[in-house]
Amino acid sequence: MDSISEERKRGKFRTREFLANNFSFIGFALVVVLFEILTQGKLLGARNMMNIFNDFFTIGLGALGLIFVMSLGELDLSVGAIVGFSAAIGSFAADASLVLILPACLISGLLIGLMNGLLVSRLHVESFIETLAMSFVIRGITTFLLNGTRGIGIAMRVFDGDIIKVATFAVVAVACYILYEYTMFGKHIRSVGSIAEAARQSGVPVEKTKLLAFMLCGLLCGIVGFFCLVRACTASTKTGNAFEFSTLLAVVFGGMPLTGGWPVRFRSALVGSVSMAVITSGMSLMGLSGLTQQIVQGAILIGVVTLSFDRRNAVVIK
Amino acid sequence: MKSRVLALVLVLVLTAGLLAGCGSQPASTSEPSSTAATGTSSAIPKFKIGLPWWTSTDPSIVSIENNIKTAVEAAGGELVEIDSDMTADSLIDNITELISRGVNGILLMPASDSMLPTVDEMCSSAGVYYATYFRDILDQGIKDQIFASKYYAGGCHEDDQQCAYDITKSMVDMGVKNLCVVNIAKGDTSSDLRDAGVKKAVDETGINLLNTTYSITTQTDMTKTIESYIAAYPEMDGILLAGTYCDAALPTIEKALSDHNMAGTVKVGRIDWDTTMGDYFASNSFNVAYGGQFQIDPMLSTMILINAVIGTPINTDGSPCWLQTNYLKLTSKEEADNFVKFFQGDLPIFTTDEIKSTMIKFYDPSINADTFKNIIANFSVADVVARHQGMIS
Repeated sequence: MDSISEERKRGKFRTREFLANNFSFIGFALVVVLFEILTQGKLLGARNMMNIFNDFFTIGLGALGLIFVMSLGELDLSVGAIVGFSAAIGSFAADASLVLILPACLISGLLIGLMNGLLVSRLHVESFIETLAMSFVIRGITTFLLNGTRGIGIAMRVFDGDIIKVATFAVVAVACYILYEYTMFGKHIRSVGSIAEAARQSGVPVEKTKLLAFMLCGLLCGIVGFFCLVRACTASTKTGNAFEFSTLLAVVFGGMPLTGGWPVRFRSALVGSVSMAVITSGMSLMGLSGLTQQIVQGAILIGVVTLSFDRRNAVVIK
Repeated sequence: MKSRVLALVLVLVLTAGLLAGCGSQPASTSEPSSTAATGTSSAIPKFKIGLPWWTSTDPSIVSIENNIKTAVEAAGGELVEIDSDMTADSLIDNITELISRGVNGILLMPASDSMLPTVDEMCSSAGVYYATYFRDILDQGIKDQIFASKYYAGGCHEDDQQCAYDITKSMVDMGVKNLCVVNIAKGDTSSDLRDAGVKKAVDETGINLLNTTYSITTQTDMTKTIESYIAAYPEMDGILLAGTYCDAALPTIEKALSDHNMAGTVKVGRIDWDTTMGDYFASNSFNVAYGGQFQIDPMLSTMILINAVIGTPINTDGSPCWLQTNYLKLTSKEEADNFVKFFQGDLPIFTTDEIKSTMIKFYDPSINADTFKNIIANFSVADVVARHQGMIS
């Protein structure tokens, strides 16, 4: 018969395991309750809910793409630059025809994702370095192309409608969920993220999997670029600024392990994005300055990573 | 099992909240029930003015905020500030949020002409007035559209091209023959106009425009730019800081020149004033500055907006009140010190009483666009000193 101390240890372990497995939901609930109190009930008001959704929409789409890349154990720091570049290309396509804006945004995002994927998977460039460098290159090209700002016809604002955005997000989220959880591609991604060599020996096409993940991330950034463009009807060199930080923070807050692999849960993207949108909205309603908001977001990132990083399973030497 | 139940509950709560948001009517602003036009009410109705604003400790930026706040509170309103990086995307999000917070008017510095139709559509749909400051509208089609809008109250702008032309000519008169320029981001209306002004002066006088660098926002980048200029252009004898969002830009430039023993040799001029000019004027390492619009432009733009919000628009024919404020010139330490004391101190450039008596049509129905033009024409450092001499120790 187990001793009392061993039963207590098992109990503590189950509690810790529950907390670790449901960290994202617990964090989300805490954030909602905290800011609802601090904003004296304004956070969950009907008007503010759409503001939260508008914040959540672009970050959520970006996070959905990032899930695939980070599940591989890779990083994509070029997502913000891809958003800006896609919006810029879309603004040029608008000169030919408004119908071409969306395809132009999608194709440009896809092509940058393809480049990222090729460099990481074929040339084995470290994704952190490669995507960071790519972001500089793309930002430079965007600045050169735009030479300031470019506007498009205000008729495109119809795509900034709430119903269209809710429907778009629902379709993309469901499609990504099915792809991630129920297809071989999704399983391959997590296998590669866990132990790439073992996955390769098991017949998983590692390079192709990485390539497709980066392309998918790029495609979703293209969608974000399109919606950024139609929201302001303007593409500027600042479009997508700091987007990589927002999406990274979102997925990490959602419980995404930085090492990728099988522990990754698809819900990290959604719950984390909503949580970050709630935090941003709450801080804004409280009247916190931009500097203070940055400090809070940075502190959250450090805290979440510290609490959720699984040191036992971290691979020290590959 | 527990986590699945938890997930389901959270999804249901979020969905309910989203549906509540989707189903809600567009935010209807509580327009102040104005009886100002008939003068039957003795108090201005309560109102809120929204201001997208960026956080800075720069005294110039702080003084702009103080002047806007004084203007709003002088009329009995509330200023609702929201953090912004002043890009088009950020401003659109800011406007959405301000409208949802029930503001009656929004004051903004547009990032580009092309975003204005979007702003107009959003504000017109919500019945919220808006006004602009610091920016002209160069695109005639957009200008016509905005000016025809019922909800565009108007705003102030400067003749950036003339200012840049004048300051370049001033620097040429001081002996500059090889000029380097630092400017704000391309595509920004002011940036483009200042570029055009510099070019016009350069073409007329025949001096060399060696290089222009855009969009410097940090001191590190400013230092690198100046040092690059020094290294690449030994013949450089003038630096024009045509515009920047970099804090402590002038000290950074002066430090870089000083490190290369070029302070005082290279003539330095800048558009937009700052607190450090006085010492550099005294040491003759800084030579000319055009500015002074930082405070008057936003304040008057705010007053144009407030008058529209409370039902007493400056122009009674429905057209926006569109004013051009002047750039003022500084060339001495005394003028610079007076600027710091009287423009960037705790006292705004117009006190609450001065605002009430000269800028709020509710209290004086005779106030019109000419009143504001006279204020602009009479405005100078000496004017503010004369009015507030006894109020500041």
